[in-house]
Amino acid sequence: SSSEGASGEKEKAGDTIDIRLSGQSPDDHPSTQALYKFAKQVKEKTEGRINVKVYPANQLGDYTTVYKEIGRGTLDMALISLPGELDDRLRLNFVPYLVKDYKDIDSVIGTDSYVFNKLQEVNNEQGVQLLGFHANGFGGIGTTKEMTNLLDLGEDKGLLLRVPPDDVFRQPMVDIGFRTVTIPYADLYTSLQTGAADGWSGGEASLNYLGYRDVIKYYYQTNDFFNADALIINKSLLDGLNEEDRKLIEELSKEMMAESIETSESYDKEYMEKLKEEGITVVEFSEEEVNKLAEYVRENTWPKLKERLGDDIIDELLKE
Amino acid sequence: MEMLIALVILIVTLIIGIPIPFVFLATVIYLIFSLGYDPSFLIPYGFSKLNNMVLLAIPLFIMAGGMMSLGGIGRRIVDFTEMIVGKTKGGMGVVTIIACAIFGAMSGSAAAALNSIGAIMFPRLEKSGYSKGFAASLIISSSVLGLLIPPSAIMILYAWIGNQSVLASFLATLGPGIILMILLSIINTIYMKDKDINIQQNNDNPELLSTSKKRTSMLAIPGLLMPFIVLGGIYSGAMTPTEAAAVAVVYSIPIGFWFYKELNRKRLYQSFVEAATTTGVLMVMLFGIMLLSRIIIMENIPDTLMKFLLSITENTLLLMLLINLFLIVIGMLMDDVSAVLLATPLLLPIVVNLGIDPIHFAAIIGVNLGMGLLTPPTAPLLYLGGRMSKAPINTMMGPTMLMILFAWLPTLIITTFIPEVALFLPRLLLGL
Amino acid sequence: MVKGRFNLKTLVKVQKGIMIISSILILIGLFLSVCLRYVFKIDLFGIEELLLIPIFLLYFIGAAQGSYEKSHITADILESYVKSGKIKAWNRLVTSVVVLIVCLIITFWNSQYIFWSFNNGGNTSGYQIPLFIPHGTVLIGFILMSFYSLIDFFRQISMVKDEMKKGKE
Ligand code: NA
Ligand code: NA
Repeated sequence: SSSEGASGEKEKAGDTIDIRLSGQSPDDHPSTQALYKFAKQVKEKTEGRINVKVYPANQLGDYTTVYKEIGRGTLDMALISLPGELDDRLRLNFVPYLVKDYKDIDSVIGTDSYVFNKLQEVNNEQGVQLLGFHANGFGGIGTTKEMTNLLDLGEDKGLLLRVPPDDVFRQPMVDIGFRTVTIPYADLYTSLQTGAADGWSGGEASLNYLGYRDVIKYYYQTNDFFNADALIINKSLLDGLNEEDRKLIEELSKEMMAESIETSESYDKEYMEKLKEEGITVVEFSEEEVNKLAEYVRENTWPKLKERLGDDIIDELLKE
Repeated sequence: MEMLIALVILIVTLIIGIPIPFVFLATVIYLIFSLGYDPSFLIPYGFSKLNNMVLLAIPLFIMAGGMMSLGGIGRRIVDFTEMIVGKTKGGMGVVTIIACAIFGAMSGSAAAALNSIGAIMFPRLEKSGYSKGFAASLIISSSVLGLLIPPSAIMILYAWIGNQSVLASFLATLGPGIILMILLSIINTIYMKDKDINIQQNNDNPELLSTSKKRTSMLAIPGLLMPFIVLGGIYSGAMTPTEAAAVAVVYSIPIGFWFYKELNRKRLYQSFVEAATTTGVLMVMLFGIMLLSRIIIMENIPDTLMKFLLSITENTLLLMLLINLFLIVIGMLMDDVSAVLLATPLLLPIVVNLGIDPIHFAAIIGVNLGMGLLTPPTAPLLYLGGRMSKAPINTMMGPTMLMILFAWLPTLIITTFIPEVALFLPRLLLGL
Repeated sequence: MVKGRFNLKTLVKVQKGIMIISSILILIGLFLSVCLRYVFKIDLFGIEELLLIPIFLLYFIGAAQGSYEKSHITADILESYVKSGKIKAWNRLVTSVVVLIVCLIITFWNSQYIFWSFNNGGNTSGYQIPLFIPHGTVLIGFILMSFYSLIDFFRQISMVKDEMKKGKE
């Protein structure tokens, strides 16, 4: 017998459970590969009782609708960006320069961190449980034109940068000195191809390689955002599982997160190499230079985000 | 099992004449209830899919085409083309083909080309010695160039569903369009060869005698500029396809009002309403097909279909023939828009799996569904062309069959088995 | 009856007005954003958000107008092969019933979602426009489509009655 995943009813012994897991990255992206591994492990460890089917590449819709569906229980699980459109505070892990380097990842967004627990609180209000993050790597700026004055902070870069229509992403780029254009993500490839935008910010090396290697000529590893997708599950589905299954899912999620944190640095390196092999100029910055960028954005941009995220959250972050 | 019943529902409701958006929605409703899905996820999924700026290009291209049509551009294009190539034996047929292609470069659909060029060309072709049936058949085949020459609503839809570049999809059907033009011209020449017609007849056209060449050219210029604004704007990267479509509408308004002086406020509003209605009808269809394709994905139908196809043969060439056959059948049963909406989510995953480039497949779909507009039982262009030309449908069947056999099917085979026909231009201009 | 007809005409006029105004707003918005980009080098921030409401109005009031004009695309295969007026009339009645039922179910699902969206639906990310407003236009569109298919249903009933009478004569 098979039961609809997110019915919210208590699981009965011997029932098989189908779980639909929606992902947003392409099939060959590390995070999608991690999902396949997760699905395989769940199946093995429950001897086929829990069957996780992965739908990658936004097949079941973009992150906003998928998130809503997780909350309502028409989808079971997802690995997606949290949608700030639904609650401003869900933008918390997208605050620019929240994470400074690979050493800090676990302490800033790990399951014991302020960020994780704050996000858990907000997610629970929507009927969603946060299981962990899949760390993808540090974001940078992919461009079709060369830029020489990136570190002259506040000075006009002469570049039109595509940003998501959201202050959290736009404001730091404006403050650093870019002109910005808010093109929908779906049109990004075309607009880079045709020159409607000269570059885009926020994507890590792997995303720049997998999605845009044919159109970009330069990649600047600015570390402005630490990209991590949230692994989420419908809360009543998780609560309805028996102790053993619930623990298993939580354990495997933590494993996935720990593994992704471990591998994110090597992935960033690996894909920067691949970008170079494609003939793209990869510009890396010293720790000092990244710190300079981080300090500038924290000083200039963070206070402007108070209106969006709330005074207490920004104050708390600034304290840390 | 549920899927088979769903297929039966789809076909039966289609045949009894339920409007196609409601065919899709009825199938969705059956699947929701029979498979036990909670309907609440479908509606927002449909909304989020429609919330896409690329789609907005469709009503705007319809508006632009309507505006140019009402402004009388069709006649100027025909006059201009006739001035250049019309004075040879069988020249009028070539004028038809080229005029449709030019109009195709400023509008997004075959029906728009038929409406604008067809009405003007029927009498002129007849006067030049063409039979009613052949003239009507040539015009409807040529008007499909409105779909194959960019911009194209069908290709926007294909790109939207398949997550492909609109620019590349536009270029994919241009090569096949040119092949079709050549083959149609050859058929036209052979047809006229047996006819004993006095070429001088062409000069009887009072329009051409009274207006000087200079004036004919001058009048055609604003219309001929439009493709440069639209396609130039898109391919230079100055504008997105949506913005280019809006600019085209804004450009065509003063041209129609003050240059051609055939547009007025009432006609302007009328063309807004007509474009909105056409689009609204389309959007309900998109909404329905989105809900359907979401269930198709959740039920792994492309996988199942793939396994089924592979159980028949593993030869890629044969599989491509099968897929073409499937598209020809869909093209017979449905109009181009419904067909692209249904076929893309089903077939694209399969052909990608077979190693076919999605942009190459764009061309295959474009040619198939363009031809589908001429193949009964559902053959909108055939019926519309028949009504406009007052040619009885049975007199059109022979010449249309001839064109399908000697122009359409060869174009389809070339497009399917020589990928470069579709991919050459996207590679050259976009570096794909 | 006369009053009813008058109201229908007013409704159609309002629909047309909405379509015209939406078209004009969309054209101005897009044209302006192109001009601003090239002439003043300014990005019209989130233009697609600002246009969301006119776009959805254009689409779904247009769809309602399509129902009123009966211009939804049909394959109409049966119609072209059946000669009997009686069968045609019955078939059209069946068709109108199916369309009506489909419209009502989709309208119902839509309204359920809009109610939910009103409470939990979220806003657009730039200008914080509540999403239930553009989405509500879809509901309005489907309500109007249901209304027009109801009218069509009554018309088909009387057509069938006429055909049956003809048979008796
Ligand atoms: Na065209
Ligand atoms: Na057909």
